[in-house]
Formats: sequence, C-alpha cells, structure tokens
Amino acid sequence: MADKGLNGFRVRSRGGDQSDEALLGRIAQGDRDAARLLMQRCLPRICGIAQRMLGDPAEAEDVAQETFIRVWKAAGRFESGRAQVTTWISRIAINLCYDRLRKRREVLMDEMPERADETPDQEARLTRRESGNRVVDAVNQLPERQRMAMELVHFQEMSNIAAAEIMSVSVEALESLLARGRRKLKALLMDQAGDLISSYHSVAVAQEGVER
Amino acid sequence: MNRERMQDILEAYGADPARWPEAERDAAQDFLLDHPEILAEAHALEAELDALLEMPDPQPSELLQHRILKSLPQPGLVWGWRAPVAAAAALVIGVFAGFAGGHIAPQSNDAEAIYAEAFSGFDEDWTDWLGEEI
Repeated sequence: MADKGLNGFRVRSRGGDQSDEALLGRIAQGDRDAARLLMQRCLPRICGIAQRMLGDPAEAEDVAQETFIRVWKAAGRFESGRAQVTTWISRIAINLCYDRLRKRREVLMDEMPERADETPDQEARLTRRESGNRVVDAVNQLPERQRMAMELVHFQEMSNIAAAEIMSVSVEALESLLARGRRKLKALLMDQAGDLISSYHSVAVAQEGVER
Repeated sequence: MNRERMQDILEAYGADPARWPEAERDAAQDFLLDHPEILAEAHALEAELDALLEMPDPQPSELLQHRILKSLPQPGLVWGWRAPVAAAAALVIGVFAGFAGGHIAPQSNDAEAIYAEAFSGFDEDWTDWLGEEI
C-alpha cells in the first residue's frame, strides 16, 4: 500500500489503519514512515498558514519545522475526540505564528518607543515582510488581529464562536475585524482579480503535472 | 433575518454559507433565496474575494521535509534492568572520580600563578604609564 505524498513521492507504508490518528500512534513509537506520511499530508497547509500569518517564507519554514517537532514530541499524548489531527496541528502552527508576531511587535516597540501609539495599519506595515505572493502579501498587510481573524474563520473555517474564544473577543468584535479585513483585501486585490485567478490555474496545472 | 444583518454576514464571512454563523445559516440562506435581487451585487463581490483567497498552499521544499523528518526523535532503547544498573554505576564512578580528583589533579604551577597575578590591577597604572612615555 502506498500513499502519494508531496512532489509525487510514493510513501511506503505498512498497511492497516492509515488515519491521521493511527499515524500519530505509530509516530509516538518512532515510526519514520508514519511521520513522513503525516508530514506530507499536513505540511502544505501548515506552510500556507505560516506564510499568510508571517509573510516571510523563511520564517514560515522555521515555524513549520517547529510545529512538527512539537507534533513528534506530543504524538503519544494526542486526545482523540477533542479535535481532528489536522486541526490540532494547525492550532500548534497558529500559536507559534502568534508568538512570533508578538515578539516582532515587542522588538519594534523596544526599538521605536515613540511610535508605540501608532495605528494598527502602521504597525502592520512595520512588521510586513514580502513573500512574492500577492495574496499572501495582501493578507500580510492587514493589522495583526484582522489577519488572525481571517486566518481562523476564513482559511481554517472555524466557527465564529470558536474563533472569538481563541482571540478573547466577543463575536461582534470578531465580525468587525473580519469585515474590516475583507474590505481591505478587496481594496488591495480586486483590481488584480483576473491575473490572480489565472495564476492559480497555472500553479494547479503545474502541481498536477508534478504529481502525475 | 433582515437585509441589514444579511449584509453584515456577507461582509464579515463572505459568500460561502459554510462560513456563516451556524445559528443564522438557515435563515440567511432562506433570505437570499426569497430575495434574490437584494444584495445580489454584494454577494457576487464577496464571492469574488473568496475565489481570490482560494490560493493553493505552497509546495514545501525537499530540504524542509528533510529537516522535519530529521527532527523525529529516535525510538528509545529498551534496556530493561540494565538502565538502573548503568545509572548506579555512573553514580559510583562519578563520586569516586570526584574524591580522587583532588589528589590526582596536578598541583598548580607557582610560576604560572605569579605570572597571572602580575597582570591583576594592571589597568589602573596602564594609562599613566602610557602618558609618561608619550
């Protein structure tokens, strides 16, 4: 039995239960094939989260690696029934990104105390990194809390109640963050809509070609 | 559900009902079905943004995959009764070496100590001495 992973690699597997939870159980015993399979299933999603939240591809890779180091360590303690494995891994990545954003903000405030009262928009500009992807860059131009709200509700498709709980805000405040975030994204992206959608098709076709 | 709330939902959550608040989802869908002309433009606009945000996830590099797999801890060795015995042996050897060390270690070299002591407190006089020379 084999599972097709990233870059078209075939992954050897021992047969039997190939669910994410079963893989975690095997990873806890040090099973390298299970680790490879789970990594290949989840890594693109984790890289996507980290790139959107941090905007910096190199930093996103560091977060992806740190995420899986934590997954390997905690694999044996995963509580099935509380969340899906992919949701759990995504939450680890989001937390790591959030920590990095907070550290960036602290560094900026230390370096420029006189600018501590600047508006969120200016703060976002100060912490922004260029990724080379227009949508990632647009998302990265959002102030941190709008970006977080978009990541949780739009990209991770969490319920508004769960997202509001994670962000420690009311549902009304969450909706306000989302609406402002989407308004800004429309302003940043809508004039390039045609180009962007055709570029997605090109990427999708190229990826299919690699996997074939 | 009314027009104002429907507009708020579209602007916050986009055009896909799967992302709408669960408690209001059915009512919102019914509202749009019953009033297709109302908010049609807003719905189309939000659907366009949703499409733009449907970007493919990045393809991780092979180097990153390699780094991640390398970080997988090696499975622990099964030592059984040997582990506590090895720990006890290490403790005994460590204690013995600690006591013996005081006698085994070479005595400090007096000449080296004098040489090192000669430089302590040197900083204070250094500038004066330089000043006299210049």
